[in-house]
Amino acid sequence: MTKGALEYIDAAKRGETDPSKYLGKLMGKLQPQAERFNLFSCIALEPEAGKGAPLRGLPFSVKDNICVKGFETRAGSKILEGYRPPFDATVVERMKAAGGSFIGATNMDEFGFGTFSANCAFGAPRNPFDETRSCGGSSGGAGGLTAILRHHVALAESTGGSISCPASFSGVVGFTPTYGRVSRYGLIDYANSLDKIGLMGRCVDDISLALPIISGRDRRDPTSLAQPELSLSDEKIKSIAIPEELVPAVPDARVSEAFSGAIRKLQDGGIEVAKVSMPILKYSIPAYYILACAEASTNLAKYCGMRYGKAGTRYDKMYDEFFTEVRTQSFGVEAKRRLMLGTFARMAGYRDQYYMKALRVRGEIVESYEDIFREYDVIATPTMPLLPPKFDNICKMSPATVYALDFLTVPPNLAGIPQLSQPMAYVNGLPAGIHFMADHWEESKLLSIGRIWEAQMHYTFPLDLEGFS
Amino acid sequence: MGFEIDEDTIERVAKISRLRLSPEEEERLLCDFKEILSAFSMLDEAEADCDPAFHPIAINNYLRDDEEHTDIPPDDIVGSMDTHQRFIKGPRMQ
Repeated sequence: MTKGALEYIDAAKRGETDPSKYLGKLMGKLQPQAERFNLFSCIALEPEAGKGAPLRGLPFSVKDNICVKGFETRAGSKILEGYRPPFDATVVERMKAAGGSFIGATNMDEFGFGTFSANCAFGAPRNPFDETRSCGGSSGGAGGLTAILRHHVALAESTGGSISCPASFSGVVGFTPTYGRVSRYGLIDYANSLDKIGLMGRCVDDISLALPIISGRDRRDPTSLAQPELSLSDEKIKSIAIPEELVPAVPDARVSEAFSGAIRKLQDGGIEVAKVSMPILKYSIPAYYILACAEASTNLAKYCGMRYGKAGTRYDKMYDEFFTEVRTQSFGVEAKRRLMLGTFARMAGYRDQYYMKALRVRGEIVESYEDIFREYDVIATPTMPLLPPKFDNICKMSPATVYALDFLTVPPNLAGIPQLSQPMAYVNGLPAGIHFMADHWEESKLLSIGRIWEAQMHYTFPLDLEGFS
Repeated sequence: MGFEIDEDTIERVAKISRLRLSPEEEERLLCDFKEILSAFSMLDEAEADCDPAFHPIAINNYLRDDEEHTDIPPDDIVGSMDTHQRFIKGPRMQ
């Protein structure tokens, strides 16, 4: 049984540990390891221990694109260097109020633009399973940190798979809720219609602990929705659907074999498994990248060196030149590429061909999932089609090749359905993940299948830091 | 998607995006755009007749109460900006 946050909370409840002392000891051990793997964008040097139930001082980290009052928040970008938000994001506010201890902002791809966290302006986080490999992206620091820290939950964020992908590569549990379940107030936008704040932890219990804390409508975020109550009780999972178009496209036979083995185990446990056809999913990659880049190009227009982002200094210049200089100097290569792709997709003459078509394809994808969930409880695929790649290989991949690798995680993100990634196998010591998806608002089904899977899977971690000893 | 992307298109898109590209960046982005848009051209064949889905789930907008309040003190916001006598500094307009 994997030990996670509850082990700490139980000890704190019994009075066997003092949150301040625990945190002091933990940070002493954590800091050198976090530096070694470059997991934090900014670490809290003397974190304040949280008080009160239910978290009783449990450490939590925050992806660098979620605002923490007074703490440098950069979204992995030079354009936000020095930005200290004057407010907490709703999720941070709720975690602090629940007794969580904030320990730092985790490293990420610039504004979330990446699959491998290799597009961070401050260096890529390195995978604790093998430092020459990626933690996954874009919440790579959160994934790597969870892999080395036993008593902790990470607030992460997904636009097209940025929680599930690093969960798979870092060998941890990643949970992306239904779009609108968790407030985005205080999240630095990538693509509003796709961004979702979620969680990473070492086991499903870590997710069950923190999900109710961060969920719920927030009047400061008009896209956080009136929602069915979040149920944490076990539900009977009778059936799993496997989209027949996706799994055969996995290029690494070791991943597809591990997935087949995992599905056989679930079948042996009495769950019905069926292959289903979802042909519209093959258009997910272009639809996703067009929509995400289009939204990013409008969201990031505000970083002009005046109202948002690093301030320009050449006030003698005309406004157009001033804005252009700041943006040119501060945005990284991938950010420029996506801003330009998004601008292009929205330009007169191309808008119907790209942007409007992508929106219609998304509508078809949402309907396709609805059809499947009328008959089946959950959908399963591998999380990523490959094992964590080496940085040496990543730098040889073209952008189109990297985008295409998201074909398993992008479809559920386009549909805004909840997702759970868990370790399913270790291949030559490297983790591979299984991805479960359920219908909108049916998070309880995911937690249930997650517990079923965890009962038969032994997780291993590269390090097991805690503050007891 | 029958059109040819060229240097002029890249320059125009960069200008609208408020970005200045070096000749090397321009060449690289032209190459990337060609590869990416060629891969994306498969969207042409997608049969998608439903309404555009601007969100993945129905969003019902709601209005805030019409009450005056301050979430963040204005001085805290202005404090993080380059100012002169509490006015935010900006570039020349003409």
